[in-house]
Amino acid sequence: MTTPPPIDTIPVELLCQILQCISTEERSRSARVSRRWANAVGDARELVIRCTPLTAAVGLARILKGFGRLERLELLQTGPTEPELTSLDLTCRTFPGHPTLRDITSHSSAILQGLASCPSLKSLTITEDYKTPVSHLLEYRFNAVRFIFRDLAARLERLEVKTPLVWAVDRFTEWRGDLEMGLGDQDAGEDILVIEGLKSLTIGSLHTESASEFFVGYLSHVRFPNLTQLAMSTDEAFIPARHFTILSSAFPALKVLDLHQCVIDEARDLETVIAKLPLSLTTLRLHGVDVPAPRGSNGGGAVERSARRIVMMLVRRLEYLMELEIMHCRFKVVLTGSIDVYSAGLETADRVDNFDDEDGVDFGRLKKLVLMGFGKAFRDMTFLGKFWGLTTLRIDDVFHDVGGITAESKRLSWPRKSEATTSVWQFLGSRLQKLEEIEVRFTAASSAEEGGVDQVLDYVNNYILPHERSEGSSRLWRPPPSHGKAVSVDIVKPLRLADPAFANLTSLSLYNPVTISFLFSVLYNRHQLKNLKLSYIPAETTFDIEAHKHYALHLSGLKTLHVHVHGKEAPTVAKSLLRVLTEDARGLTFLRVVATKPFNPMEMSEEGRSSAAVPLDEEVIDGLIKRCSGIKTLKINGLSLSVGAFWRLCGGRYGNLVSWKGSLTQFEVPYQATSPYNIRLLKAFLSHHRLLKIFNLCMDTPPGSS
Amino acid sequence: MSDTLVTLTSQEGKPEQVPRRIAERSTLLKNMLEDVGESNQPIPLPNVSHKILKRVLEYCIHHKDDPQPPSDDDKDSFDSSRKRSDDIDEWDQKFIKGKEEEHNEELFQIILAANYLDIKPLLDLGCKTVANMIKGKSPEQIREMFNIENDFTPEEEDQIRRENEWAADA
Repeated sequence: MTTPPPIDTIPVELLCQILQCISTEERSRSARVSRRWANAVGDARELVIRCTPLTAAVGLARILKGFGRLERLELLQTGPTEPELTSLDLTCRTFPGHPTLRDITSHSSAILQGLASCPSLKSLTITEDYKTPVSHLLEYRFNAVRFIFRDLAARLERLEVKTPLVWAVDRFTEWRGDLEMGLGDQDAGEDILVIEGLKSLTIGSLHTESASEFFVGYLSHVRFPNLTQLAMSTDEAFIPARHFTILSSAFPALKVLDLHQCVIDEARDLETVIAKLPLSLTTLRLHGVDVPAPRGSNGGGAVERSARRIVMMLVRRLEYLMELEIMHCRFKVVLTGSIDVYSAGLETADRVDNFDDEDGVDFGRLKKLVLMGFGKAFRDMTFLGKFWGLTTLRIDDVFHDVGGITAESKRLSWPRKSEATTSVWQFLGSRLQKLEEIEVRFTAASSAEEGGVDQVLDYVNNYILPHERSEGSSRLWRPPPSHGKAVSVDIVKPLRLADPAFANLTSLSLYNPVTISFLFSVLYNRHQLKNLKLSYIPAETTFDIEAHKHYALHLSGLKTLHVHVHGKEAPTVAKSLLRVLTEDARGLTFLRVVATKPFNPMEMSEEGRSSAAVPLDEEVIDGLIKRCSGIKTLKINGLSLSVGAFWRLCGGRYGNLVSWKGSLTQFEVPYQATSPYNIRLLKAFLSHHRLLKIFNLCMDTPPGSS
Repeated sequence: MSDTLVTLTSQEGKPEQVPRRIAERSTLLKNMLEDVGESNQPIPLPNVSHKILKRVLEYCIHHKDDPQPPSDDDKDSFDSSRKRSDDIDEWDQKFIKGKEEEHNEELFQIILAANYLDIKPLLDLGCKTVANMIKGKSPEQIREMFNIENDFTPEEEDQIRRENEWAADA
């Protein structure tokens, strides 16, 4: 009987595909299994090489000889130390080129020379920093910038270069070599280099001079008719606003523009800058960009006015815009002939600010809006109601109870109890019904100890419990009509039912939700929610949710859960919340529980005792294991784990519990001097969890306190 | 239309009826059905045994509501996500494990069928499962596990070892 072993019944291509899933090291080891396997290893399409003294000694020419059909290659540095960077440099210098490579990523530009011999190359990524050795640049007989941006760019579809020292050595102004470069006034049309193939360009680590050269010396003389994505990040470089007009001519098809860490300079106001942006944009992301403030701004004022003006201006001007991100940008008031005044919150004259009666602008086309890091709190978010098509909204520094909205919620006869805490949420819920992903960070200012957990019991008794008894009543609720129309009075006391807003919500992140009752009202019956992150849940007083056994939120679709409780009673509240939130989350794979207390030297002595008094015990862990059997990542901070609970994680005292044996890959738990997890326990744990990759024991109590 | 039944005939000639929607999880069948249009003709699958066909359909039924994976043309060809083998979901893990005693043989037959029928996620699942079996094993252990004969001469094996030394800590 010589039936072939089953693995030999599959063709080499499939064996090759299997080997693609394991590391380079494992793969080369498995080449020794048999000739067939050696063939399959050599047949690989993708290869990741971490550059070591060994790879430098052998050289890429010899290594790559064994891989005749490679399509993708990554050359990575192993670390930031000098010997590691030297190995990287030495290895990359030996790159001889390769006939079938389509996609190369390298941490060193020392591969440049070899790239000339890569006829199939379509995508190139080179990322360096200021420590990467670049002596090869001085040895080259060609200008590296010219080589990358003229010779290579013409053959590529995707180019990403972040190489600060390359721009420092070779200049964009010399990119055409023999041609004399004047700044600007050349006979346009004649010398324009057309680069047809390139679709995406990412350029990083520019400084003021190289950024300017990139625009004037390069972009003014090139056209990319098919390029749709441009990302540019600089090291706080000053870019004159007028340079942005170059974008429209260089990139007539540009759709996505990312700007990171730069200062837009030489413009009086935001209007001037916006007027220069390409009209074809569908996505605009500004991260850490300094921009002039809108016209008529002065130094102070409410943040939502400026945010609103900025958003409205961009949406009006860029008529295809669907995604807008403004993160940690500063809007600078330009004063004529004197010092610039920086301010994120800007006052604007109300007459210019009035966009409310605007017709003909399709606000519904905006799908994603991110407004973060304006530096001051949003008091009034009503302007967001215009963007009824949003599927993603991320916003920070938001008040729970805001002037303009309270009036609205009164009109909707919202339940009095939760009015203060649900108004913003309700407002968004009534207007932005298509949201799938929400991140709201409430301001710390509004999280004063108002209400707190006291409201919970009241809430449970009044709202949740009646609903539990009346079957199927959630079906009675009718969604409010779409934006702009009055909401009918049908929704009386909707909090009895599942929160009707955001039927498609899959991702929710709330930072500083004022009360737990607010949280529960938001989360109740959200079967479709997959990712939930709750930060700074207030815990000034304890509450015993265990007393309400029938209480459940029905979060049956949850995959990742991050709970962070903050306050005097954080450990107790965290423990209770843990049960409520995971009650139906059978598919949970990621769980992180964090309890933090306000730092108060007066309570130092008590702190140790009280947190030890509420450890996560066997019961909690047993429940978790039973409910959520597939947890891969478990992180616990600020809460102790009882020795018994730890034993459960090792398979139980009698070793027969399942305890995430087949799933846990990452585990983090505080280390406590008071109840030490002894060596035997740790050994049992490690031998039980064979899939574990990361295991952190964290110091929880400050050194010296015990 | 998506509720119409399609008849698939396995290697043994045994017919198996499935809703068209389920059959269309297979890109091969999807294309065939689109080409043929409305037809009650059974589709012969001479490369797939009845037992394996049932297993494959079990997978397709469980994943009937998954979004269709992007076809190779739509996908960004420079998608940088590297393949990982540790992200298999629970049901899939149980499914692919099957019956312990026939595990190896059945696993490779499922991989072959998934490849033939062009069911990308099932093929991935199979490949990842085998990859996980290989991980951390020496060549000798791999040979033992899959019952593979070492057809290298000692010199050849030594040469392969030397050729791959560069990857020792890569």
